[in-house]
Amino acid sequence: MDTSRIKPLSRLIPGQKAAVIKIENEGQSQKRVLDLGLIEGVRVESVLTGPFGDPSAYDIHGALIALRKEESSKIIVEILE
Amino acid sequence: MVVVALAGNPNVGKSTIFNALTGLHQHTGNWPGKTVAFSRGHYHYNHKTYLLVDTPGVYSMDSNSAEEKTAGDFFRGDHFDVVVAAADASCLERNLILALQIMELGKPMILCVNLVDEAERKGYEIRWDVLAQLLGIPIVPACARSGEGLEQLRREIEKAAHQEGVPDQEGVPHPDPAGTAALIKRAEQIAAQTVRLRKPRPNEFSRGIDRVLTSKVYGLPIMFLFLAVIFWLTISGSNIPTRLLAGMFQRLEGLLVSVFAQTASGVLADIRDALIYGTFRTVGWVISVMLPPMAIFFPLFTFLEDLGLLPRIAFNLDYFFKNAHTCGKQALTMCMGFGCNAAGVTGCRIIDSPRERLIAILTNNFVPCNGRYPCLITLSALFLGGGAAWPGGMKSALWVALLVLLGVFLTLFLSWALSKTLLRGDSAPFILELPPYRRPQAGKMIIHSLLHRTLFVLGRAAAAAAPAGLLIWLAANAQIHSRSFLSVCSDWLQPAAHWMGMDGSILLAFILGIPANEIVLPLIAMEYSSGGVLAELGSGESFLILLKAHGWTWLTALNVMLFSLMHFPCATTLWTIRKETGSWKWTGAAFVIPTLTGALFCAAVTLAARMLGLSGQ
Repeated sequence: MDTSRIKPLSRLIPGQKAAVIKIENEGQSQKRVLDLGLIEGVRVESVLTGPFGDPSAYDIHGALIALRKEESSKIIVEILE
Repeated sequence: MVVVALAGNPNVGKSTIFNALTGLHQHTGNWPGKTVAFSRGHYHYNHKTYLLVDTPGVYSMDSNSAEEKTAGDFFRGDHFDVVVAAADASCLERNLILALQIMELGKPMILCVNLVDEAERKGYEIRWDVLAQLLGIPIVPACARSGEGLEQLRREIEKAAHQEGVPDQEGVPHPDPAGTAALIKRAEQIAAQTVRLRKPRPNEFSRGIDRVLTSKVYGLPIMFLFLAVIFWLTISGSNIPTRLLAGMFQRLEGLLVSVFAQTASGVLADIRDALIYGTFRTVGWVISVMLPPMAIFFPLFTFLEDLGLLPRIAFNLDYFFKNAHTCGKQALTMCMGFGCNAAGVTGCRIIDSPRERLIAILTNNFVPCNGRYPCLITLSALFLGGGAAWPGGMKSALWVALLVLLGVFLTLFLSWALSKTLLRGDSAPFILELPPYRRPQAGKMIIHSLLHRTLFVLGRAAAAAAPAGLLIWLAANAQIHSRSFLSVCSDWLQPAAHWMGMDGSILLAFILGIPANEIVLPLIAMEYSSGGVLAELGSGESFLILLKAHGWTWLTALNVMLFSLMHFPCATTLWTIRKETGSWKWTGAAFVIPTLTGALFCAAVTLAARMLGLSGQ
């Protein structure tokens, strides 16, 4: 596996697509992320970054979802393209 | 009677389906979390009555936020016969996760896939037969807005109601009970087999707009511009209708006076005067000052709400709310406060963490509600407009917009201060869905919500104004040691008011205005003109003359506007806060915090202006 392609979701730039490989969120945050349908193997795309660089919005299962860095930095993804 | 539960993810059009089936007019809006309480409505089909229960949108059946818990409890209980899961056709995969969870309840179930027109436009093709086969339940494609698919939905509900208990699911693969992960995988599989996309980028249009609205450079200025334009349209548009209405009430008053002039004497004459000059005049005032701006402001706001702008505002402002250690959804409840603070406080239920919800409740009053705009707009137009370089009303609009900006700033500042003192803690995980932009529903809907909202607020204002007007008239005419009771009260408040750059009559009007903020300005006019006759009721010029005769300057007007922005919530809001927090202590805090802020702010502004010799006298 090419490790340079593996980074936290928060480091994606708009337009980049990735697949979730690990979710390190805990407790309430873990529950919330799961509710959105984020599990290993799910594809996500970074769509928007807020005016101040945080939060960012991602395409998850076809819905546009905004996440703060606190959450997205713990979701580890592999960049697809 | 058959009880039908309506369930689904947030923002898939449940309220629209509910309204279309029951003919009720629950307010819809394009943002997740709009429905925070259950609504119930009836409809009849083939001589049978159905009770439809609309539930708050949820992401999962076992979450721990307050709203999701109520929904979860409801579904686990045995309170309904049939469940209709609503889904958004252009986001089927995500919606299927919840639908599969609902299926595990084992109740007769129908999947209503709403917004098919929107999905079609975006290039989604759904193979309905395959979907029905894979899920093993009836599927109804619908466009609730236009009524498409509703007849089929009623028919399927009727059929499902005849089913006994758990539907026969033999041959239907059961979702793996091991957990949500399995459901998610299954939803992905089903979507892959049933949804085909004709265009490579279905949301390109929405996303293009989003990139501008949330950009570093344009994001916040555009939102401020939206605000200023709304106020400008409201101010410049309500000028003439207000004058016409005021003239009408004046003629009506004259008519009443002449009709009843000969009919009474003694005590009866006093009662007549109290009713005409107290009650009737105040109510007339309230209607002519409030109706035009509301009739313009509400549809404009509804338009932006239906469009889907509110979640973008929350997205742009979240950075600030995060730094205030609160929830980004507070931006949504703040926007609701623009309509009505009581509604904003109730809306705080969408915030999961109790600490963050309490902060949002305590600070909601810092954005002006509809009851306060007339005061802000009127005073701004009278005292802060003008200047030949400014086209009609634009400067006044800018002042109001700046004041609202100050309110937003104070909301953030006090949220931060509360997070550091009384309500310490870190922000809870924040997740916000940005729904696709939707064409606001037909003009009919806008007019409808306008009538509902406007008449509701206006009715409340008039109901509060009638007794208050009577009270003021009586207080102005009741004598204590040859002075009117009113002037005794306002003299008592004078020292405090002086520090805040106002006078005792103004402060008294704010206090008497607790039932409804709408009547503060009319009360001031009543107090000033009590005893004498208020000539040319409601018209701008004569009002300006009246205020100036009582020593008003631009500084007085600015202070009244500032205090209107920052003072105790109205009685309805206070009652709602008591209900939502269950605590008198926090209700007290919600009273004291804005009042103290406002008093200090006005005092500081007044002191600064007096020291700089800018008091305008």
